[in-house]
Amino acid sequence: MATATYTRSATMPCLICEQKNSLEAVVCNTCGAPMALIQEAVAQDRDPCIVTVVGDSNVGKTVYLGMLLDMLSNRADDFEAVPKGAYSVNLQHSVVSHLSMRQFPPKTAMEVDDWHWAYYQVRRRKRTTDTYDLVMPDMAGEAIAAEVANPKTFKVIRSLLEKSAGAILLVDGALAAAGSPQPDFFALKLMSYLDGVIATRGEKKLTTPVAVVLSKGDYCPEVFDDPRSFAQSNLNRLWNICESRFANYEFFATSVVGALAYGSDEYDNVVPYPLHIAPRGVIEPFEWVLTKLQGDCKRR
Amino acid sequence: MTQTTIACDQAIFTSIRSPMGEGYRIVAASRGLKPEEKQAITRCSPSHEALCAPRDESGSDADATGTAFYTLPSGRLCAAFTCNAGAEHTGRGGLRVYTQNVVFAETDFAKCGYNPLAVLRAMKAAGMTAPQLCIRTPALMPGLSSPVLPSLELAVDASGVQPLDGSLCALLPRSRRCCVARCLMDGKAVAVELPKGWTEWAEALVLGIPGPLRAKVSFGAGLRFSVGRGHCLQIFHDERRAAAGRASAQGIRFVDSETSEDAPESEWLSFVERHWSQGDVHGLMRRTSRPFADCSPEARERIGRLYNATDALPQTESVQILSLMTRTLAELGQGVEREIRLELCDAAGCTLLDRLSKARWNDVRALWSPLLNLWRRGGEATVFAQMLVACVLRSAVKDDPQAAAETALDVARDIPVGVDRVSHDGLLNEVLNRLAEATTQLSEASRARLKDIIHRWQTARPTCPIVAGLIERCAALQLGVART
Repeated sequence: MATATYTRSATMPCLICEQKNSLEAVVCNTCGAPMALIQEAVAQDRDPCIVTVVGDSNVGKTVYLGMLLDMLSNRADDFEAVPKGAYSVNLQHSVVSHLSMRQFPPKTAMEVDDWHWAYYQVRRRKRTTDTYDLVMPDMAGEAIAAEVANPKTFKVIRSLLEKSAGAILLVDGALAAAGSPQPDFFALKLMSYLDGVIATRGEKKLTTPVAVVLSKGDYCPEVFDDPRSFAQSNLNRLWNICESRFANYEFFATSVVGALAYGSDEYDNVVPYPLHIAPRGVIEPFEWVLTKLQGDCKRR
Repeated sequence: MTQTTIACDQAIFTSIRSPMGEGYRIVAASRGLKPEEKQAITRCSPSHEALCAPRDESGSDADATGTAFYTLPSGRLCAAFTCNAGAEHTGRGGLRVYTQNVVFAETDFAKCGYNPLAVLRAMKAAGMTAPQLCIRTPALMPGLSSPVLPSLELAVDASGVQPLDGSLCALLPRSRRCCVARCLMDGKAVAVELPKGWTEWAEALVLGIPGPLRAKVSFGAGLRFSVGRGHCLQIFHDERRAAAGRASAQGIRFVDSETSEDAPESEWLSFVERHWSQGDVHGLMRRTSRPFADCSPEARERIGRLYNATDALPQTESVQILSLMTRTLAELGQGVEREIRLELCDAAGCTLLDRLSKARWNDVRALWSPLLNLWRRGGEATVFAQMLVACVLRSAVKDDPQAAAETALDVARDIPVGVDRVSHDGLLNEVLNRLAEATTQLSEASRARLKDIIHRWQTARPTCPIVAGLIERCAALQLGVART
C-alpha cells in the first residue's frame, strides 16, 4: 500500500469504496465507513482482510459479532485479537454490558454513521501463522435487506461485500425450526446478491468462504446436532444455492444466551430477557473462515 | 399563494413484522413511486432512536416528532413527518419510529409558496401525521391494512405560517442564524444544535433564503444528527461533542450555543434578520417566497437593498426618498425584481403623500425641484411624481395661492407622456381658480406679483379659458392686466 502517498496527500481514499475524503473526515462521505480503517491500514502497511457478518433484521448479528469479538479478545481457543482503535471495542463493550444487565443490546439503526465497526488484528498464539487485519462492521439488518432488494440503496454494503475475503451469514435457526419460510427466503436472496456482487467469470463457483450460522440455537437445540442436515431440511432453498454456486461454504449453529425469560411491555410486545451468557458455537464459524483464508494464501 | 391542491404519492417507512420481512423499511407506498425514489426514501428516513427529545420538560420521548424535506433522484420532492408509534416490536427497547412521506412534483413547489412546512401542515390537516397502524389480529404485531397507499390530492395553504415566539427567537441569536442562512445560500451543509423548536426554526431558516433555491435545501429537523442522511440543514438536539466532531470532520458547519462569530454583513440577511428578530415568519414568507428568476448573490443583494429601503422609508428624509425613487424608477427591470421595485415605489409614494398632505407649503418648497425633475422624466417616474405634484400644489394653494400659481407654471407646459391630461388640467384649473378668488384686498407688492404671474400664465397657456377669465376678473378689479 502506498503509505507515502496517503500521508502526503490532502485527501485519503476510503478503504471500502475508495472515494477520496479529506484527512479530517471521520467517516467516508460516500459510503459512511470509518476513515480510521484506512489510517490503521496505512500504519500497518498491510491490506486488511474483511470478514462481513450479514443477516436479516433481528437475527442476532450484533450479539453474535459482539460476543465473537469479546471471545477473541479474551484469547478464546488460542486466538489473540488486538483491537486497532478504541472505536473497535465499542460493539463488544455494548453487547457484554447489556447482556450482563440481562438485556439485549439495542436495535442497530439504519443510519450508516450509527453502525459499529470493529478492526482487529487476529492471529493464533501458539502457531506461527499469519496475522490477519480483520474488519467487521455491525450493519443494520434492514439496511442489508434494503440493499439486497434494491441494489445500491446502501453503497457501503455492496462495496464491503465486494472487498470481503469471507462472510458469515446469520440465519434465524429458531424461526426456521418453527417452520417459517422467512429465514430461508432472506438467505436465498442474500446469497443470490452475494453471487452477483462477487461474480466470477463463466460458470465457476465462488471461492469466497461463507459460513452459514444458524443463530438462536438456545431456542432449538437440535440445530447443534447436525447443522448441515438441519439446513438441508429446513432451509432447503439456501442449501441448494450454496451447493450450486459456492465452492466454500459450511453450516454452523450458535447460541449466546443460556436461558431466556419473557415479559411484556406496555404495548403487549413480548420482551425477552437473557438470564445468563452461555456462548456456544461462536468461534467455530470464524475459525473455519480463517482456515479457508489461510488455505487460499498458501495456494497463492 | 393561498390555498392550492397538489397531487402526491405517499410512502410509510417504519418497523413492522410482515410476511415479507421485518424491521425498518417502506411498508406501504403508492404505486406511482419509482424504485429509485423508494431507495432514496429508505436512505433518508430515520430509524431506531432517531427522534430527538426536547432538553427541557416540555414533552416526553413518546411525543417527539421530526420533519424532513429532500429532493429525490427523479426530481420530485419528498416531505416527511416522523413520530413515535408505540414500542419497538422486537422488545429490544426504544420506540418504533414512524415516518409518513409525501412525494410531489417540483413544479408544484411554487404553488406551495416554496415552503416544505406548508406541505407538512397540509399532511397534518389531512390526518396523515397520525400513525396508520392497526392491530389486525391480537396475535400479530401491528400492521397496515394494505401495503398499497392511494395517490392523493393534498390541500396546501401556503400562507398558514405561524410566528416565532420570543423564547424560540432567543434560542438562535442573530449572528448564528445569519451564519446558518449564509451557509445554506452558499450551498454548504450546516448542523444546528438547539434544545427545542427544531421544526419552527427549520421553517424560519428555510424561509430566509429565496424560494427557488429551497428545492435544493434538504433538511431534517428534530432528527438526531446523521451524516448518512446527507441533509444540507440538520436541526437537532444531540450529544454535543459527538455531533460536533462528526459534523466538522465531514466539512459540515456546526452551530450551537458555543459558536461565536460575527453575523455576516449582507443586504439580504439584513432584512431577513429584521423579520426573524420580530418573529415575523409570515412577513418573511411573503417577501422571500416569490418566483425570483435570478437568485445569484448579486441579485440577492439588489433585492435585499430594495426591501431594506422599503423598511427604512419611515425614517428616511423626503428628499432622499425622491432621490431613491429617481434611481429606482430609472431601472425597474423585469419580473419579480420589477414588482419589488414597484412595491417600493408604492410604499414611498404613500409615505410622501402622507407627509405632504400634512405639511405646509413652506415646509415642502424644497422638495419641488427634485419632484419636478422626476416628473419630467416621463413614464413610470412621471406617473409616480404626478400624485405628489398634485399634493404639493394643493398644499400650496391652501397657504399661498400666488405661490401655488407660480409653482404650477412649472408643470403647465411640456407635459410629459404618462400624465393624465384631464386630471392634470383639473389640477391647474383648481390652482388658477383659487388665484382668481384671492384677488381682493391685495397689497401693492401682491398686485405686482399677480400681474407678473398672469402674464407668465398668458405666455404659457394663451388659449386657456381660465387664464382668460382670470384676466377679465383682474381687469374688473383694475389691476392693469390686459389680454395680449
